[in-house]
Amino acid sequence: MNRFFQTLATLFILSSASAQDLAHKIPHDAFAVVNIQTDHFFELMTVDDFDRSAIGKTIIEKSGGADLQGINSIADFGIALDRSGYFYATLSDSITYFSFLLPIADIEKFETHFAAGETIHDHGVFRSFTKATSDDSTVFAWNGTMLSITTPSLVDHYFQLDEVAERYGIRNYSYAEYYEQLTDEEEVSSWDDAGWVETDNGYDSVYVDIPPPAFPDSVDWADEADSIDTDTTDWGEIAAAADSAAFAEADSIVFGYDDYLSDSATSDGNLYDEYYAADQEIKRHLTSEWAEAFVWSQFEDTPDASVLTNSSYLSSLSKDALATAWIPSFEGIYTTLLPELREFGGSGNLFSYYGSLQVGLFADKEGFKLKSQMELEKGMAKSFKRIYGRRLNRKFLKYINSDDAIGLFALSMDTRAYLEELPALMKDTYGGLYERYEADIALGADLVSLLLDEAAIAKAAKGDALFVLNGIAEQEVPYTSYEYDDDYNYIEVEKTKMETIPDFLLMFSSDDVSLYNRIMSYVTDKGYLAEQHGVYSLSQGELPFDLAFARKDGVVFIGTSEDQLKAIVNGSYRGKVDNTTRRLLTKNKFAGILHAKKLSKEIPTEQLASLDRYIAFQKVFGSMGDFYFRSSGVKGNRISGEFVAQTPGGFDNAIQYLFSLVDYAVEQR
Amino acid sequence: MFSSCFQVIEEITVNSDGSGTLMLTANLSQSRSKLASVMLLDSVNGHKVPSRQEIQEKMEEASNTLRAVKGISKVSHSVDFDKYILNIRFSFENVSNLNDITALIFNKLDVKTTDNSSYSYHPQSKTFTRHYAPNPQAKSEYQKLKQVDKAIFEGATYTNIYRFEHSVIKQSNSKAKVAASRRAVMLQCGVLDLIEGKINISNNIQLAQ
Repeated sequence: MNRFFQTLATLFILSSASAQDLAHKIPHDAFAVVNIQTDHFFELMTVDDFDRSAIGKTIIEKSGGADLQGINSIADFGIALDRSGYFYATLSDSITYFSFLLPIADIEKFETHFAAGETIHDHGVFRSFTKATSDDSTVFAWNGTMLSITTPSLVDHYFQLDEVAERYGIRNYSYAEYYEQLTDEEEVSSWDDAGWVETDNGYDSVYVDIPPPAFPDSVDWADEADSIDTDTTDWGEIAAAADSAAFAEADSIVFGYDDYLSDSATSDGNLYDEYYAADQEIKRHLTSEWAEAFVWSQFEDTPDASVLTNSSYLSSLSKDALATAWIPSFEGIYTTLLPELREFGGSGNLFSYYGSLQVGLFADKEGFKLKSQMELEKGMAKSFKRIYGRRLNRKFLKYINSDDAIGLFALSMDTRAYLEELPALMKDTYGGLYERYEADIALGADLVSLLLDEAAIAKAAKGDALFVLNGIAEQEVPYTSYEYDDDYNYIEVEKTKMETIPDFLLMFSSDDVSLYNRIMSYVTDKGYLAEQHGVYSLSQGELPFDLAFARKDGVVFIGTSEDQLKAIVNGSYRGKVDNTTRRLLTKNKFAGILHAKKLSKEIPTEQLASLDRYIAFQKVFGSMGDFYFRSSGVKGNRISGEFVAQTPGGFDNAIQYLFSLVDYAVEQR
Repeated sequence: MFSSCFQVIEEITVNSDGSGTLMLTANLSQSRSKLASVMLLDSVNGHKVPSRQEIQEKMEEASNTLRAVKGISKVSHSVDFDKYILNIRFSFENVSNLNDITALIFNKLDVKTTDNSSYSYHPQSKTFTRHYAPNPQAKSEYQKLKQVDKAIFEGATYTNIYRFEHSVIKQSNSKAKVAASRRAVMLQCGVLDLIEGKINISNNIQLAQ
C-alpha cells in the first residue's frame, strides 16, 4: 500500500507540473531516462551565487572567449533554469537515439548564442541545425519552449544481417572476399535482387527504400505496474518490443553508387576501401533520414503513452533530487550494448534476474546522497534475502570506541545460505549464458555443493564481520644507511624513521572453537605465532605492522594492537558506541562510515611536507563531514543502497559546500 | 602513497695498472616496510611485483652476463631481503672493460645511446676520466611515468666513489670531494637530478706520478 500512495503522490506532483514538463515528450518505453532537476539545483543555490562561484565565473569567461556576447549570467543562455531537463535513450533493433530535452526560457537569447553561425533549417514548428562530430552527427532542434539535442547511432550488428544489408544495398564486403572471389568474379549476381542496376561497368547505382523504423511503441505498459512486484519476465519484452521490423511508410531514396566510389582502387584491384566508404555513406544517409524523422516526431507528436504513465519510472522520481536516472531493464543494457554476449549461444539468465535500476542524486542539509535501488526477479530476491538473512553480531559493538574510530565497515551475510544458494545461482546464471558448457557448469555447481560442508564452513565463519579502523599510528622503524669516514670508506649504520601504519581491529563470528584452537596450536608449534594470555601474536611476520589474534564468546579478533586484544580477552576493554553508529551498523546488511575530519588529524604532519600542503589539506579534509554508505539488503523485491557525503557545519546544503571547495581549490592555483 | 627512498652507490677502485674492482649497491632499506607490503601483492600501480625467487634469478642472470664479458672476473652478488639491499661486485682487467658493461646494460634496457657514459684510464699519464652526458631518453621516459611512480625517485640518492693507489692531485667536478688521504673522490647527488640532467657527474682526475 505504501508504494501505492507513493506512486499516487508522485503522480499528483507531476500532474501539476506536466503542463510544461518535457517528460510528456518521452515515450513510456524509453530505454533510459535521466531527469535533471535544474529547478531544484537553483533552489539550493541561487543563480547569483552560481554566477559568483568559480565554476560560474569560468563558464561566463569561456563564453566571452567563444565570442558569445552579452553572457553575464548562466541565465543568459536562454535555457530555463526553473524547469527540469531530461536525457533519454530510445532504441530499436536498428538505431539508438540519445536525446537531451531542455526547456527554453528565451528563444532569442538561445538563438543568438547557440545557433549563431550555423546553417539553420526552418521546419515550421521547429528549427534545427546539425553538427558533425567525429563519428556521429548531432541534431540541435528547438521551438519556443524546448531544445532537443539528439545523437543517433546505428546498431552495427543489425546491418550485418544478410537480409538487412540486402534491403539497404550494403555490401559488408570483407577484405579477404576479393581474393576468395578472384576465380569467380561474376558470382555477385545475387545482389541484383537488392535493387542493384547492372551497367556496363558493373554496379552503377542502387535504389533502396529507406523508411524510418517505427518507434518502439507497442508494449502494453498497463501490465507494467503489476510486473514490478511480480514477475520480471515482462522486462524482456521491452527489448523485444523495440523492433523496427515493421516499417512505416516507405520513402524512396536514390543513392548513386558512383557518388561514393573514389577514383582509385588499391594497386591489387581490391575495392574494399571503396565498398566500405559506400556502405558508410548509405548508413550515414539512413541515420540522417531516421534522425530527422525522430526529431520531427519530438516536436510534432506526443507519444501515445509518455513515460509519465510508467509507474516504474514514476517511482524513481523525487522532488528533492538533483537528478534521477531510471533504466527499465538492466538486462536491456547488456543485450543492447554488448550484443556479443548472445554469441555465446544462449541468452542466459544473468541479467534477467535484475529489473529496473533507479538512481537518485540528492543534495540536502545532511549532505550529498546517492541512492539507488534495483528490482530483482522473485527467485533472486528470495535467494538474496536468505543470503543477507543474518544480523550483525551485537557483541561486536562492545569492542568499538566510536569516539576514536576513524572508519567502520560492517557486513552481515549468512555463509551457509550463501554456499547453499551459490550452486543454483551459478547453474541458472552462467549455464544459460554459456550454453555449450551448460552441462559442465551444472555438474561443477553440483560438485561444489557436494564437496562443501556448508554447515561446517558456516560454523567456522558465520558471515558477519566488522572492521574498525582505530587510527593511523606512527611507528619507529629501523633502516640501514651508510656513514662515510674521511677516506670515504662506508660502514652500514642503523637509523630509524617514523612511518604511518594502520591500527585496526577485525571481528567475525565463529562457533567453531576446536578448529580455531587447532589452527592456533599448529601455527604456534611451527613458530609463526607466540601465545600470551590467550592472545596470539605474529612473531616473525614480514608485515609492516604487528598482528595479533584472539577469540572470545564466539567472536574471532584480528587486530594490530596486542594490548587491545589482551584487554578484550580479560574483559577489561570498555567500548563505547554512539546511537548513530549503532543504528548504521545493526540496521543494515552492508554499512560503513568514514570520519574524514578524524582521519585528517591522524595523518602525521611530517607527511604533509610543506605548509601550503598542510593548510590545503586541513582546509579540505579538516572541515569535511563524514562519509557513510549503507544497504539494508532486499526489501520486497528491491535491493537498495545509499552513499552519503555529509555536509559539514556552516553550510546550508551540500551544493554550497561543494562550490565553496571548488572556489577554494581555484584560489590555490 | 608518499615518496620512498633508495640509495645507489657505485664504488670503483682503480689500481695503477688500470685493473680494479667495481661494487654496485642498491639500498632500499628505507622503504623496507613498503616493500615488504608490496612483496605480498601481485602488482602495484599496475606493475607486476617480482617474487623473491624472480629477483634472485635476475641477479643471477646479471652475474652470468657479466662473467661472459672479456676482462671481467670474480663476479659475486648478494640480495638481503631483510634489509632490502642488493649488491653486485666484480674485478676488471682494465678500466675500459667498464665501457663494455655500460653498453651491455644499455643494450639490455633497449636504450639507444652512444658514448653517454664512459670510463678511461691512462697508466702513463695517470689520469682517470669519467665522461658522462645526460641521457635525454631517461628524462623523457621519466616524464612519461605516472605521478605515483615518479614519487619513487624523490629523495633517492646516487653516490660514486673512485679509489686510487696514488694521490689525487686535482679533479675537475666541483660537486665532487677529495678524501683527506687524497686517495679517493666522492660525488653525491639526487637520482632525480641525474635523470633530469641537472647535474653532470663527469670528472677528470689527475693522479700523482
